[in-house]
Amino acid sequence: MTSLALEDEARLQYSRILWKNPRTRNRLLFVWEHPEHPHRERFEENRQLVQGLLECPDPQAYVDTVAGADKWSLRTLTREIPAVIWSLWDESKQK
Amino acid sequence: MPRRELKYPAQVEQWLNAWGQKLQNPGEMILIGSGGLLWHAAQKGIASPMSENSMDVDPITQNDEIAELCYDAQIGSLFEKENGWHINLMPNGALDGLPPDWQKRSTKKHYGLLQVEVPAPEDLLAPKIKRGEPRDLAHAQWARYNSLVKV
Repeated sequence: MTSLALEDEARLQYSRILWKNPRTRNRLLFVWEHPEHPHRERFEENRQLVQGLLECPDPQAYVDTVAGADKWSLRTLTREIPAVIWSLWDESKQK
Repeated sequence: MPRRELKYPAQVEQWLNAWGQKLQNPGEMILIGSGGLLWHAAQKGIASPMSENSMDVDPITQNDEIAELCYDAQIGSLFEKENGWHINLMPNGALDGLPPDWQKRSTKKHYGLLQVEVPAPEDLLAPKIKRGEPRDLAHAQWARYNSLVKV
């Protein structure tokens, strides 16, 4: 696996963990799809790839074989996972 | 808001006790960094504050329920407003900075359904000493002063 900076590794690791649980997945989606999220449109553009990265058993293999190593690296695709903005995350608790 | 941050061993113990009551299912968490040093101090009944305050604690977990609690307590959160410090989830790769076989020397403790594993003080200090920044060295000095590690 290509080594990631700790910040990127944390985003990938914990997004994948929270994505597995339907309830926390809904919280993530509430944040990422929220009209006020600055990267909402970008997420929509790469949604299928991001979703695949979160669900695949091996992220590096996913980048190499599915996403396409000619266009993506594990680092760049990980950075397509939108950040979780706390105010939206807090709001997602009520949904 | 007055500056509070994280400096007293009891703050870590209170936090873990509270989260142990919140968990609905068993979960495990590893605590590294200065939060881990404060944890060791709390186990020894040490009350003296850390010489350099910390703004966060650095846990690592594979558990979704704990990860969610950590997201709820991230920077800018209500948790931070109430406590003066926040949770900074670290990835598994952060453990690579610890000396080999750190798990053989770590300590585990249960808080309700929450199991916390904390590397030995010497292992927690190893990456700090290697980094050698003033705050890291101040933490090492504090640990020595409080007999968490041998001189």
